[in-house]
Amino acid sequence: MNKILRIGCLFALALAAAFFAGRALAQEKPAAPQPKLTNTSIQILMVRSDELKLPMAFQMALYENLVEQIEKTKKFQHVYRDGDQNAANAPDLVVLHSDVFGFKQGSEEARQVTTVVGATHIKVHCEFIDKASGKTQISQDITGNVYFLGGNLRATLDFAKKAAQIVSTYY
Amino acid sequence: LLRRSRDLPLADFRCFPRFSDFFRARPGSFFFFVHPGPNRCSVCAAHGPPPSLALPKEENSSMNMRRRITFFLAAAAALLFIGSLAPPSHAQEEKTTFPDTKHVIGLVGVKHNASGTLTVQNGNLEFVKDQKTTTVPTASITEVLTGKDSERMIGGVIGTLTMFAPYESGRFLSLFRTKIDVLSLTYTDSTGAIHGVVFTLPKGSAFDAKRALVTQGAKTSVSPEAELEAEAKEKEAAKEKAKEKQQ
Repeated sequence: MNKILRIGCLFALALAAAFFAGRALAQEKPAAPQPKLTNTSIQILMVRSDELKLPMAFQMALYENLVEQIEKTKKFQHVYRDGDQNAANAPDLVVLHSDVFGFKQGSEEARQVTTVVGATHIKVHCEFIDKASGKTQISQDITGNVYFLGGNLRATLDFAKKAAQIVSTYY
Repeated sequence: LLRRSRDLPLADFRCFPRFSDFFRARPGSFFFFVHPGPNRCSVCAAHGPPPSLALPKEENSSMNMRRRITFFLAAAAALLFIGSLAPPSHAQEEKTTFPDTKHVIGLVGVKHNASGTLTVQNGNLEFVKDQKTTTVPTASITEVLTGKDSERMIGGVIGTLTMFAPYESGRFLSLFRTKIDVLSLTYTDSTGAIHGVVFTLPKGSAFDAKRALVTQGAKTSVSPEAELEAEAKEKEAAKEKAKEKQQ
């Protein structure tokens, strides 16, 4: 009986070790530190949603949260909004284009009652384009989610925080 | 004087001096005259009132009271009906103050989810919170749209804490919700920069706020009238769907 228990424990340990080793190998190696981009100002354009119908409240919240969170990073001397005339003369300007390509509006009530359903997802394609050269510096899809706490608009804050994290990483 | 059938001979008509008598009439006798008042008409003079409907004198006072009540009820109903047909009053059109408005995001210098009073006056949109006023000229507003949402009755920090209450009572409390309106707008500042603002208002207020803003110079891609029509269509569609489900 004791032998069976020992063999069982060993087998379970071996399985666990194999699982964690596999996961560790599967994880991407951290990217080599890249030289930081040196733009001193950024212009954030209004979030577009050409492919799908996005409620205006979400569009406004995405844009405003994006501006707010990128300002918080303090990586740029100037953060210009869409349409700002001062951006025309700004040196080293990078323009952020955001295009929503996926949106699933969940339900706050369903989230709070069931925990597992009613999540809100917003998928946004972001491109940081250097205005002087016209080159795309960063092109990335960012997802904003809200799974449990908060209203649906909280997904826009999640997206903006992730975008700000990218800004912090590259600039 | 009401007369349903003009083909019947005069002798077949029955005369009811009171409306209440008419309602007491037997179902088959649909040919009748009704002439309220004490005077008798020619039919009454010829035949007299129907004996089955003749009322004793004791009942006269109660009948008078009933007749008065009926008259007042009919008058009130008529007034209500006329009132509903009349165009909305001027005072209703000029509703420009919206208390219990929550600023979700967008106004410069105002905290997120701050509750205050939204006012549309003198060509400005004003949001007042703790005697601090933030102003946006309505002429600079380039888009106004309304929406609908709901929120927990018990919100904020207390609402979050209830999620940790025993026996999943927090989840149960999440079922109690209040409907709210969402008012989203964009405006441009003096440099041409675009700002987006989101407010939530008590149910039914967003449309009035939008109308007030548009009246005072704000632009919109969907006029308030078109929005009303769309809302009515949505309601009809929802009713039809509900009927189909029932069938």
